[in-house]
Amino acid sequence: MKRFASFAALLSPASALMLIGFVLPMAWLFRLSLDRAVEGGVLIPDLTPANYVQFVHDKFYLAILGRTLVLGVVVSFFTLLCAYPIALFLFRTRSRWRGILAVLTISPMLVSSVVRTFSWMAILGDRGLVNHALLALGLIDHPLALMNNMLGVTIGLVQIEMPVMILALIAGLSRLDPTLEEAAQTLGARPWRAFVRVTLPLSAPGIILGCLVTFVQVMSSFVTPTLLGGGRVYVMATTIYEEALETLNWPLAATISIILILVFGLCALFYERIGGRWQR
Amino acid sequence: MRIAVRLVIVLLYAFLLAPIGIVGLTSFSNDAYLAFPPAHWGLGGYAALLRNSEFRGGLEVSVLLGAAVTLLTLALGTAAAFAIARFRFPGGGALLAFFTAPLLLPTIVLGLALLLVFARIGLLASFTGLTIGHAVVAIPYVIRLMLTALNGLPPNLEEAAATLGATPSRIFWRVTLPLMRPALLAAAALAFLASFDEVTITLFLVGPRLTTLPVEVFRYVQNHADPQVSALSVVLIVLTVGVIVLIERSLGLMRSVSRS
Amino acid sequence: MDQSLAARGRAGPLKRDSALPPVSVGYLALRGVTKRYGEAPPVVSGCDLDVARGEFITLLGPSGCGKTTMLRIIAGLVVPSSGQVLLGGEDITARPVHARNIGLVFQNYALFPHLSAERNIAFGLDMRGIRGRRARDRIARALGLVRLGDFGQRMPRELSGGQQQRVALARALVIEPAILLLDEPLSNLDAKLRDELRAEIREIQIRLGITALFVTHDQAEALTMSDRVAVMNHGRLEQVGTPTEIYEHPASPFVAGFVGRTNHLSATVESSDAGGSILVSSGLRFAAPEPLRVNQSTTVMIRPHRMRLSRLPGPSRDGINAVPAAIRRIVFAGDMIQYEADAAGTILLIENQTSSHPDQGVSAGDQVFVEWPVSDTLVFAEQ
Repeated sequence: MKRFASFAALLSPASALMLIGFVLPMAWLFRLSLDRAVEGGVLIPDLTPANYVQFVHDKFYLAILGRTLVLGVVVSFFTLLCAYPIALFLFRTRSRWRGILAVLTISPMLVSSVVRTFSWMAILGDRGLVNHALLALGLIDHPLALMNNMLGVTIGLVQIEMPVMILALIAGLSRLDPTLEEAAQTLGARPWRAFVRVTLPLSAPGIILGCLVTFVQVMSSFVTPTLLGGGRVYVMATTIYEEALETLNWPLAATISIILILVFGLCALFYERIGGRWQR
Repeated sequence: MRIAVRLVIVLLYAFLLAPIGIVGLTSFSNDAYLAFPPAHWGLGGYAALLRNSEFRGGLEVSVLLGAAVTLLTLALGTAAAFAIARFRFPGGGALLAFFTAPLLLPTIVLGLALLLVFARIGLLASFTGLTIGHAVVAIPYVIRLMLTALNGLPPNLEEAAATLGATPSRIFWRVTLPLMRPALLAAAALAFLASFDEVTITLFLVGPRLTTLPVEVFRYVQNHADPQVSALSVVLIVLTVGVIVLIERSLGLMRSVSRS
Repeated sequence: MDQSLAARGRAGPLKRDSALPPVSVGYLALRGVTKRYGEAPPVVSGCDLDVARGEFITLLGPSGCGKTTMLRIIAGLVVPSSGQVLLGGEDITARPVHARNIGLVFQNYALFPHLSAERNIAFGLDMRGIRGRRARDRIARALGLVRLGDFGQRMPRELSGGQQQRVALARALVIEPAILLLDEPLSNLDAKLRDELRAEIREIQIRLGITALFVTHDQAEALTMSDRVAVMNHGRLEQVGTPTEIYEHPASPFVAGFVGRTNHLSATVESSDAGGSILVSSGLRFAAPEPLRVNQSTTVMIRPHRMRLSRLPGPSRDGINAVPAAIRRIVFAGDMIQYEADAAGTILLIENQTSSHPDQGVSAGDQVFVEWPVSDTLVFAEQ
């Protein structure tokens, strides 16, 4: 009994923090999604699925959900495309620069998301690096609209997600036995075929994990869509923020949040089922 | 073929690292707007940064908040990790999952949820409210790191101390804690960074007279983009690298960054 | 694909319809093969080796002697710094791995974990454009050959270590390679399984008449399996010969020491004539069969199982060395009994079959004579 008492004493302060900082807010969030709001942010206590019904029937909100899902898929795809060669390179290289390259690869993770997004403004803006170069080369007459739209958000997110994807891919590759590709080659496979038939399928667990993490992070990304979208790109996260702090429709904001969590849950379920098959 | 592959790798690294480099370059500009390359090179950005009282105020709040969050999560997180590691209760894994759950949620959702509750209990726009909000996203890192460190301690040392006549509390203070000093340092650094870099949740919890630096920057960038922000970014990157070097010295970077 | 077909064409006609995978023909020759990394001493240095068709040759040596590098050079996984690799009379030094038509069995099996046993075996056939019925027949034959007929559907992780290595062997054989390379394939298996597979591999090799090159650090493996053994040390081939030659007539102290147990003595030549020499080693005098230069310093090696004990010096016989010694220790090891004897400060190890030398009533502390035939005194002049 004394054992249990000290166990509880050690655990309770952290549990109290989790209670008021996590459990209570999440429960309250769900409860509020069943309330109603009228103009001006007045809450009317209720127990109605009206907000969910509204979300599902309103083309505007459905389009936002669709846009966010598409953004997640597109960013995951391009991040994978950009990250795979680097991951494979880092996994295989015996260069003495390997350690430094590995640190450089994940270093962007350690820079605040605001700073990282801001840096893309310096590249994609009307007076940024890309437009400056294209104008100087005479390839264009007017600056291209590279930000304040979906394109800018996508480019920024791909770069921001790359380090996480690379880490997931390397984790997947690290279980790969390098003699397998040699075995494939002694059996007559050219290097490229050995890669496609052996390395690529065996790195599938890393690919699935990396894509899923990227997808989930993009689905909930807020800073990058807000800043690189210039207020013109509406995704789930920006909509939650707007409904909560500008329209002051807290029940609807809560509803959109719960739907976002549901998407997360589906992803986790998907990973359990698909990921489980690949585990050795 | 080999050359083509190398070229692809170089280009991808350029894509990955260009933003940081560009920020560094644009910080040395005297222009009134963000442009690359700058029309006039100079230290104007840094000068403007020093005069910006909003940023200074935000920095003050952020540092104080970071310190408070670090102390709070280190105390609570170490205790919880100790409980999970030493009292081998069934469901220890579930407890760990519970404490790390906030990392799995979208921060935007957590921010909204905190707003809704804090609005009712009067913690909105308060230092306490901010501390709780940040502590919830910092404590998972602390617990996980301390748990790894506790489980990685040389076995039998605590038992050896006990046979030499040390009471449980003296064992903790004289043996266990000193052995965990590197992990404590790393956990402190991570907790501080988690708080210092946090934007999304904070946006919901700040008030007119109480704003953190990242939120100030976020709001500033929404309306202006000028070399001042580049200069600030460089300062922040340098500060972050300083903290990372601290972790690296005590624990090794890759181990603390990998989330699994 | 065209390249591998061409490779097969060069390797000679194949009998497709025989009941077993047909006999591959190949003739392997290494000419001055050297591999160095940077400034370090070469890993493989000026190696010449000829392997006849259908021969089973073993590269034997301690770890780090370069034997695996040599195998990887033959496979094409390592490019030699200089020298040539010839197969069937053709220079294949510059040919990429996938075009060599070589079967390689890896130490860690290297089975593709995402493919079933069958599809692992099918891989090489697929690379050669052999699919469908023809492939299925050959896979079934290969599985039968390694006695895994019912295990085709299993994934590698569902197979035991021995079964995995059999699949790896089938996968290497099904492509009808010009030569079969085996890189310590048995070292991850337990002793009993190792003996079983040893015999099985040899039997399959003889049955198919395939040329095989086997790499191992285990001298028992090398001696029992091979037609010939090539002993390697520090990147050089020390001796190439039949197991008997290697064992009975080692060409260097290294070979004598590495293959089988020996007693090592440093000795100086006291006198010598056409009939042999007399050597002295810290108080011991004994004869060696060959004439040597007087005062020459030598290393002498005597196999423990060539020695025996006797109570009395016995009638001085020609052709037998005898030195007085005190028994220090007796170890009974089942079919074998080992004696440790102190001969004027030199410790000698004597091994006798238990059956042929029933307990001689010797016990520790006894004064005895250690005897061995003069012809079994191996003498190596020191440089």
